Amino acid sequence: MIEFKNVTKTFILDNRDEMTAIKNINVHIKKGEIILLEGPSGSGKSTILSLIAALSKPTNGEVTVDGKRISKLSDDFTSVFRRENIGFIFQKFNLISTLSAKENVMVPLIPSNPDEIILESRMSELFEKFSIQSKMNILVKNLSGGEQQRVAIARALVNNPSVIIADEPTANLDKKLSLDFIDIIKKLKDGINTIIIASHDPLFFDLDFIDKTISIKNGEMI
Amino acid sequence: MKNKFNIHLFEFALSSIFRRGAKNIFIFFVFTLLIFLLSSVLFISNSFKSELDKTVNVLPSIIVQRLLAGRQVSIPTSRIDKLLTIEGVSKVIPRIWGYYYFAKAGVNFSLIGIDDFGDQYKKSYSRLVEKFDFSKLTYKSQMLVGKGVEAILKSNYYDGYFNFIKPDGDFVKMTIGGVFKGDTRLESNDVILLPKQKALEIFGMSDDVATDIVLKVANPVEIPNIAKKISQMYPDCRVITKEDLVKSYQNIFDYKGGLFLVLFVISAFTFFMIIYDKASGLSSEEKKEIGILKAVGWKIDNILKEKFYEAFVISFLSFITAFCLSLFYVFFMNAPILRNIFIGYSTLKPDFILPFSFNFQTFSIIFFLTVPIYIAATIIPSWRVATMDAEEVMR
Amino acid sequence: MVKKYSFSISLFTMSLIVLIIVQIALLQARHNTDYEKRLFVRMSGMSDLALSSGAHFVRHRSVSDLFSIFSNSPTLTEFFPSTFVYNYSQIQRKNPARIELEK
Repeated sequence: MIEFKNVTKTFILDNRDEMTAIKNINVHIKKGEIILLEGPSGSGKSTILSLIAALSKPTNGEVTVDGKRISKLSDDFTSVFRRENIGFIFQKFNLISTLSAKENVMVPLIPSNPDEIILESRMSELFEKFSIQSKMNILVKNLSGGEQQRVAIARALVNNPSVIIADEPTANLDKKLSLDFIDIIKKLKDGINTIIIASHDPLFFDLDFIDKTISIKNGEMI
Repeated sequence: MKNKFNIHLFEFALSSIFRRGAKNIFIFFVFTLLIFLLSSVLFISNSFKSELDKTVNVLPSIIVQRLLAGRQVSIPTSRIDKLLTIEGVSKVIPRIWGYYYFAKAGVNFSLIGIDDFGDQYKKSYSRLVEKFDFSKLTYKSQMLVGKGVEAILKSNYYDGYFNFIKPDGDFVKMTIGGVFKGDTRLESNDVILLPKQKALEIFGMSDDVATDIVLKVANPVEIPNIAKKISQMYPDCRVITKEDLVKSYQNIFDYKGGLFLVLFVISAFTFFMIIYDKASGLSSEEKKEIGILKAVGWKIDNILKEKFYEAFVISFLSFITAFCLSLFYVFFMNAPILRNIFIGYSTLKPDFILPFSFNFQTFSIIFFLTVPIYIAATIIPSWRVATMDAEEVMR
Repeated sequence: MVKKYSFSISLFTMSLIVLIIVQIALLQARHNTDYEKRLFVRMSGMSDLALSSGAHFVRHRSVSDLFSIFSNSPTLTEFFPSTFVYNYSQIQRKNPARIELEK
C-alpha cells in the first residue's frame, strides 16, 4: 500500500549547493507490515519517512500511499491526508512544550472540530492505554523523557492512522525506555496498521515482530 | 458541521496568547494606552465642536467690522442708516464689546454691553441667571457675570462688586446683579454683561462708535448678496456672515496640525514599531510550532485562522478597553491633565463638565487604522512560514 | 471540558461592553442644557466658547483680526498650549485688500 517509484530527493542548501538525500528508491510496503528502515546517520532514512508522510515532495519519481499519489497532491490535500492517515513519532518528539500533555495529544483533532464528548473519551482512552492518566494536565516541559515519548505516541495515534511512522524513536532514550518503546510497538501490531521505524539502534535488529528490513546507505537501497 | 464555529481552534488561539503572556500583555497595554490617548483627545475635541454646533443657529446673520491697517477699530454708528437701506435687512444693531484686563489677577474679562435689561427679557434672564433679583437690574450700575468672573473677583477681595479702571484713570463701580448658571459655563465663564452706556464709559469709547455692527436678515438665502453689497458700500469693512462662523467652527481643530499632529505622529510611530517587530518575522519557537501543526495535519487555512483569532482578540480587546476607559476618563472624570491642553493655563479656568458627544466616523477611523493592520502584520509572516514545507520549518 | 480561556475572554469582553453601554446610558440621561446655552448666545450675541481667555484670537477666534495673533506687538507671541491646539479662523483671510480712495 506504500509504493516508491524511482524516487529521488535533492535539497538545495543555503550556499546554493545541491545535496541528493535519496536516489532512485523503489520500495513496496504491504498493508499491515512492520518495516524497519535501517542505515547509518545521514543515509536518507528520515527523508524517506518525510516523503511517506507527505511532509515534503520528491524531486523525481512518485510516492503512492493507499492508491493516492501523494507526491502530486496540493498543500491542503496533503495536510488532510496526514491528519487522516499518518501518525508520526518524531525523533525529538516535537511536542509543544508550553502545552499540557492532553492539549498536545488534542492538537491533531482540532481542525476537524470534534464533539466534546467524543474528544474527552478519546483522550481518556489514549492516556489509559499508555498509563499516563495522571500526567494529563501537566505541561510537557515538566514531563520526563519517557513520559514525553508516550505523549508523542498518543498524539500520533489520536486520529487512528493507518500508517504509523517512527523516526529514530530510541535516539534520546536509555535502554529501559527503549525496551518500553519496543514493547508498545509490539502491542500495536494488528495486521491492519502499517508501522515503519527508521533506526540505526541495534536493539531493533533481529526483532521477531519486524516483517521486513530495508537497508539504506548513502541515499540508495542496498 | 462545516460552518460551525470551531471552539477548539479558538481556545487554542487564546491559550497561545496566554502562553506568550509577557509579550502579549506588553502589546495589549501599549495599544490600549495609544488608543486611549487618541480617543480621549478626540472625545474632548468632538465635545467642544458639538457644543459650538448647538449654538450656531442663534448667531448673528451678518457682522460688520471695520479694519484699519489690518487691525479692528471702532465703526461709526452713522453707517447704520445706510445699512438699513439695503433690501432684506430687517434690523441693524451696533455692538459694544471688548476685553478688560484685570491686572492684579492677570485675567481678561470679556465685556459685552447690552441694551437695557428690559422687561421683555425677564423670563430669559431668569432662566440663565442665579442669585438674581431682576428688579435691581434696572439700576444703571448692575452687571451680570459668569461664574469664573465671580470666583476671580471673590479671590481678589471684591465681594459682589468691581471697580473698573477707565482709560482716564477714574473708577467705575459695578455691582454684581446676578451670576450666570453653571449650565452655560462654557459660554459665559469669563463674560460680563452690562449696560451699553457703562461699557462705553469703561472702554473710553464715544457715543457715536461701536465695536462692530450686527445685521439681522429675514431671509437667510439673501445673506451672501447683502454681504457683497456691504463690502462694496464700505470697502474698509470686513463682513462676517453666519456661514463664515459655521466654517470657522468647523475648522477649530485642524487635525493635520498642532497637538493632533504631534499626537498622531507619536502614536503612529509607536504603533508601527510594534507592527514592524511583528511583521518582520516569527521567533524560531513560533516557526517550529507552525511546522509541528502542519506536520500533524493542520491546513494552512487552519493555521491562519488561529493566528487571526490571536491577533483579533488582542487588538479588539485593546480597542474596547481603551474606548471604555476613555469614555470614563473624559466624561466622568472630566479629563484631568489632558483638558488643560485645550483650556490653557489662564487663571480664569472654566470649571465645566464636558458635554457628551460621540462621532462614529472618528472612532471607525481609529478602529480601522489599528485592528486590521495589526491582524495583517501578524498573519503575513505566519502565512509565509505556513506555506513552506513542514519538514523544512521543523529543522 | 471547560474552555477556560474562551470563558474568561468572553466574560471580560462582555463586561467591557456592558460598562460602555451603562456609561453611555448615564451620559444620555444627564440634564440637557442645550436650550440655556442657545439662549445665552442669543442674549449676549457673541460667538465662541470661553475656553481660553488669555489670548483674544483664541477666545473670540471667529471674529478676531490678524493683529490679535501678533498680540499687538511685532514679535509673534504664541499663547501655549491653546495656540498649539486651536486653528486660526479662516476669517483672517477676509481682510479687505485695500481702501478705495476714489470718491
